[in-house]
Amino acid sequence: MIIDFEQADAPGEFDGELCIIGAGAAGISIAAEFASTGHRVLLIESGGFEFEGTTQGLYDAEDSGIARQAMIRQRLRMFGGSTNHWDGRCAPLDPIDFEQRDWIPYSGWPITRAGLDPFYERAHTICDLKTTLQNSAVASLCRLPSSPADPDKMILNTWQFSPPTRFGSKFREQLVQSTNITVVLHANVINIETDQGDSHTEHLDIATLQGRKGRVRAKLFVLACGAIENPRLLLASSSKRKAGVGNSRDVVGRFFMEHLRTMFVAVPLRDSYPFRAAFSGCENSQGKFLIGSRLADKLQRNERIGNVSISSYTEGGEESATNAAFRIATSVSTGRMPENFGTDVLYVLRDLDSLIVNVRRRALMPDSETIENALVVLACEAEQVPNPNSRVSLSTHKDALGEPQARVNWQLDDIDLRTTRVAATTLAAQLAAHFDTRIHTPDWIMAPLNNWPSQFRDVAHHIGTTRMADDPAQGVVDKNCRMHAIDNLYVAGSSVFTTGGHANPTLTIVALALRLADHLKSQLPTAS
Amino acid sequence: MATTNRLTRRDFLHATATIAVASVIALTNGQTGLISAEPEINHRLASLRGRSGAIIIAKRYFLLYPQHAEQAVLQALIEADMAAHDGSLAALLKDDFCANRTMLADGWLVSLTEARLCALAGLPNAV
Repeated sequence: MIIDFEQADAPGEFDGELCIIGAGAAGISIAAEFASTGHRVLLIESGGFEFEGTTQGLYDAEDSGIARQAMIRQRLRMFGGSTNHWDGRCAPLDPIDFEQRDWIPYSGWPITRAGLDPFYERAHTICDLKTTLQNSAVASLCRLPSSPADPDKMILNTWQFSPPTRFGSKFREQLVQSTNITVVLHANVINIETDQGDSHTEHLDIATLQGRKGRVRAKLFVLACGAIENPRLLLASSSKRKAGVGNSRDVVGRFFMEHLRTMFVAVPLRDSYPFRAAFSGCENSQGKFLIGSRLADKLQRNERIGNVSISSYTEGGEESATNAAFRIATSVSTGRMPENFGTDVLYVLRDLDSLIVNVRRRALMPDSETIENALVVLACEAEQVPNPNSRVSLSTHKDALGEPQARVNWQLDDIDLRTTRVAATTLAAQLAAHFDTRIHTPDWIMAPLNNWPSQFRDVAHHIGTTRMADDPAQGVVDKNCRMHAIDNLYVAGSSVFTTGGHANPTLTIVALALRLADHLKSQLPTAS
Repeated sequence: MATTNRLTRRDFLHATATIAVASVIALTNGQTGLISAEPEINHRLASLRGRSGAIIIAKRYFLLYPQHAEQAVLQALIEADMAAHDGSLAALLKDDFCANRTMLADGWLVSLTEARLCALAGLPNAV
């Protein structure tokens, strides 16, 4: 059932067994798990089914740390959340990401990768991924040659692309038709009201941009608004405690993490086929894959650094030699004079090397994707280590609802620079030794500037602000994603990640949401 | 030839490509050392000589190893390493990278042998 809270005839009070705040990847995944269970579920969403500028404006935030891409553009505040614009790149976190690594402060999840594996499997289905195969199995599927790189330094890493699944479109009908789920649109949660002891959530206050107010009661609540909004809402809910809900230890909002992107230009010197195969893509009946590398666990341990992946960032497009040659060949084979013949010939002549490589690759691997350009841009995405000084707090600026905006103070640590430095030198040495390929490394990585943190590019992967930890002094939620301090308030999304690894977060967000859904079912009395 | 202080991709590629050809010559001549393939190697070194990329790499090398700024010293170092790799410059270069015997020149990772060849070609201008 759908209720638009903006409509005058909509009820002002809602009551359910489970209330999920936020209809993004995490919130919708949990709600869908409750479809047809008989449990009364409320899914509260700030936006509508379509993008609305005024609602999106509520995402405006203040930067007080390292400059970032505009926060207002990084997320989408509407039904389906940021899955309305994600590119679908999926990979699970690596087992080492879950380990307590003595060289990385605050590392170590209270759960293991093996424990999350069954949920990753289910998450693949939700994200419309056709196979759970990874790494060497994908390389075999794509008939890639084995990598000549030193396995103690750099190992194969694969990603799989979701179509990408737009969660709003995919699940809208199921949730609309569901008799036990109520989706409440245009309802902004402006306060989480807890009891006097700040140990139990009593209700939520909701409001529309037009000034309509209401209240939501439930047995259990799940906060699923992303790693900036989750702490913002907890911190702004200060009617009982000045520090906000469940924040007596001042951990809410801390440990804000990103993935740190650096670009390298790779220059193949001679036969670049092994290099191009190692950083390529492949599409077949099992799915669409990206092939790349990551730093080996052994190297991470020896060098005392975080996890890093490296993949091709090259785009082909209209001007690629292979695409131009294909256009010419198609025209000639159908007896037509090619359009823009001269321009296409120029495109071909300009990059004969990549055309030859692609022809060879097509001959060997007919279902492989084209790899373009003699120069290849490689993107290195590094884990940012947990840092309590990197945090989300409240700004003095107010949003259109009169609520304080988020202030994001993104900070990096020296180990973050070291991680990328080791990645750069390892990549350069491995490519030179085994792939006849050289890379150019930006100066600031090797001879750090005073402002080196601002050289990194953030990638809109917001992580860690209500992190999972056994110790309430180091995390906001326990291993079941329940807030340490509040007995009926749970958190879903990448804000609960203890550490960020290098992998794109959505698959893990969904896996953790499914795990939380199972737990929540066990906490509710059997539905009648 | 006028040189700048920056090692462009074109300069770098020219230097490394010249060195790569030198490695092929050393192999095809069946020689056991760099200097024993002297006419061909000298020809290649001549190609490097005066090249801005090679000079920039050479200057970086001499900044790190000022004590190597003599032809005899550089030749001895290269010969010894070549001999340890059965005269294969390609094998030596690969081993350099695997064992982190490298240096950075304007963001390009160069093997020490590559840098020494450039240094040899760059003497005395690069000192």
